[in-house]
Amino acid sequence: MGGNIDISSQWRVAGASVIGSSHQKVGSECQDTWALSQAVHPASLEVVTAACVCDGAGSVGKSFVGAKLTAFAVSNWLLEHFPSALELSQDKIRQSCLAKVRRLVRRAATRSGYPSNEYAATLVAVCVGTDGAWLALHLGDGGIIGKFENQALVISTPEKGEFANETWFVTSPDASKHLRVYGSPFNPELCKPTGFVVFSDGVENSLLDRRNASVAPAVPTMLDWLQEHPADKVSIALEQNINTVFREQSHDDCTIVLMAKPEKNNTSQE
Amino acid sequence: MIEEIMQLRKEDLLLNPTSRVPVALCLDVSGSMTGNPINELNEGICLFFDALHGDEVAKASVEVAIVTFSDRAEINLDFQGLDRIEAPPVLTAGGTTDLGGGVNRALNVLETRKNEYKQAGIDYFQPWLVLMTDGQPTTGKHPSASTRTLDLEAQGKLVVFPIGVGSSADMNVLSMFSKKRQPLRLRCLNFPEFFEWLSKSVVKVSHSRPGENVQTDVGGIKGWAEI
Repeated sequence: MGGNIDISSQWRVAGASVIGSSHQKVGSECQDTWALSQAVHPASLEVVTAACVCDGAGSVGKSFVGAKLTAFAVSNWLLEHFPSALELSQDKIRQSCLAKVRRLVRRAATRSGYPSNEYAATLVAVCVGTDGAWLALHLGDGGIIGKFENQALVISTPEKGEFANETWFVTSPDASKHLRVYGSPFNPELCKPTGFVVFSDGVENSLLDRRNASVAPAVPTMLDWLQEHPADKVSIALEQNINTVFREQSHDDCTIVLMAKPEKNNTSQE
Repeated sequence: MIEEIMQLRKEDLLLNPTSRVPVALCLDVSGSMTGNPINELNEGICLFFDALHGDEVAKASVEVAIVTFSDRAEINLDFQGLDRIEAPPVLTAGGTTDLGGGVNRALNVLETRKNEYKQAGIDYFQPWLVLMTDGQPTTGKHPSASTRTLDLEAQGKLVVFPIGVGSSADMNVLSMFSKKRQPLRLRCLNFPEFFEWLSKSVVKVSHSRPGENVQTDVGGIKGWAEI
């Protein structure tokens, strides 16, 4: 069996999660988290990249743990099931992914003695292969922006109830109805992705305008950073920008994850 | 350092409208409020606005309307951003007590404001209705008005605080307006203490996050209520 793994076309990822001033003041944990998984698909030998951002529900006791469990579960589910999941229906994807999350949450709840709903968290995730096939999942607030043929477009917006502090979580009884699934088979108009920005609600009002689906100028700028600089430096820069520019507009926990397809002959990661 | 090159500017971000907290003060300004009561009420309202101005988040998000009722209900201050209000209106007392009319008017003002938020794509928190009276209603409109508040409260669409002022306030009538909160009687004319507590409670809401159950400061109520 032959075949080469093309690491140079592996997507680059940078991210930062920063505690909000409102949580800092009261000494509570950062409820935001993010997880990255990358692996070589054994059959195709392409590198699959999955990132998931999660935000624990504001009031419940174990939500920061719920956020970590959900991020881990979803990024691993994506890696395990991509690209075969692209042949499933959106309903099957919802059921399978949420089942994995709920198994982990139930296990944690049984060990801790806390009810499962205390592990409530939102999830925003993207998985992409080097050939450009992609899959995205979104439950609750936060959002996803994608760059397709040099245009930054809103893929998914925050979902809220009638009131600003209402959204849906992985532990919500009707979570599967509200878990939105996007991807190359379901959104054929969004093809040849070159970048994604995945973020929590702390920065959603700074990066996208739900009213007219417009995207902040910061989005293409940040994605360009990943073309020009090593991912670890970009992650530090993200954290610094959250603590300065984004912080002027939000007291909440903030998470931003950037995913970029390397441009040809770009050696900035070496 | 490389990180210094990767620096965004404020202009690189969007500036969406903040989520709003609409608060309707529905206040009895009937003849029995003449003298000290109306003076203390006016002072309390000023303190309320000052406290909201003093919190960065609340200043951008809390909106206050004042509906008064005596012979009839009137909108003394309609909803608008706090930065557009130099000073709250000074209320005067006189007349009878159209409590039901006042509540209906306040609910209508809240509903109108919610529709404006929806049309403008602005997020908002559950509206608040603060109802204060020192006597008994003199019209028969309060039962239907209370049906509206109870219905909205049961759906989680309205937060109601019924407050009695003085010994003549009809607490049984006030209890018709909320099942989740028993009416409280203001101790002496502790309007300033009440509005200080109210401002802190509203500020908490403006800072709240999805999934957060904002608890009323029950301990703080002892500062102004007869318990």
